[in-house]
Amino acid sequence: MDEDIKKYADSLYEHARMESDRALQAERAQAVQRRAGLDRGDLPLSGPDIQIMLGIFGNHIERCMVGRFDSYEQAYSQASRTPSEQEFTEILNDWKRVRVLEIEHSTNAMRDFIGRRAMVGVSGPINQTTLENSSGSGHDRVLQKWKIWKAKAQLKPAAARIAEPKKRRDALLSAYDRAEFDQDLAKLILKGSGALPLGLVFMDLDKFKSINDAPADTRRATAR
Amino acid sequence: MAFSDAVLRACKGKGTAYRYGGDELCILLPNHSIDESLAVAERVRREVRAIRTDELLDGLSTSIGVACFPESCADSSKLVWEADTAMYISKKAGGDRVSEAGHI
Repeated sequence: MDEDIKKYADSLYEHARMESDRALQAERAQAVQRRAGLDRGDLPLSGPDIQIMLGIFGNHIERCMVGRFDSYEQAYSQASRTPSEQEFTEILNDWKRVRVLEIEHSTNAMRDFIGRRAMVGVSGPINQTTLENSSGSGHDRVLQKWKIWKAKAQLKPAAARIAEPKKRRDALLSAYDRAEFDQDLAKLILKGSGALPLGLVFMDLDKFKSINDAPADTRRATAR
Repeated sequence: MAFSDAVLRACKGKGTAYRYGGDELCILLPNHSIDESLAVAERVRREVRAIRTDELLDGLSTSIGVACFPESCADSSKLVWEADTAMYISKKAGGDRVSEAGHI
């Protein structure tokens, strides 16, 4: 991946992540305060308390996931470039890495928060799956966005191909025909050093005759 | 069919395959030296040799000629003639081989 694009994307993500972290801290403080305001500060954590915290951390994970993806999309758009096939894979892999990292981070933070506080009416331990499930539709949404982005990138060369004059293809052999060959050869020779040295390979099937002379139905079976 | 598939497979990403006429196929290989062109030709020969059909249990074989401008053939107008001639030399020698123009 282009180093400058990567650097720019990383700085964008760094910013998005910090913003999300700030929002997380604020929401968390608010939740704790609300509990205190309800005179429940000293009571054991209950199911709804855990749900609220899970929601807060889940939102953070979701923001990070979307932020990581958006940072790449924005960086490439800024550079007026579309990622190559390999870069698309790199983006997806890095996004998956960030996702796992943030889930892990939030799981630990959640456990820290619970600490030695007593809990009542809470079923099951808090683990990475709990956090993963609380991050909403972020995962699917980003995957969808990634697929659309990739499809869009592949559309460009396809559209360019349509604009090109259509090459004449030999129906039987799905190779270009003689006229096309003469034209391309002349072009390559004229082009000079750009295409040189120019190799030319001629081929003839040794047993081709016997196949073409076979009855039509046999020939069809021979064709793939 | 199997033959052209083998040829298209062997030259994929390297050059363009054409049907020259009759049963002849050819490949244009820009930026390929004679040695590189010979390597592509050898790949075609092996790919075709590996084809098996119901009618031809012994499989297929192909006669191949290779020329390169300006390395082995200094006159571009004779390039086709050179490659074609080299192919006929392969055929006359019993087929299933690659011949290089000017080295016959």
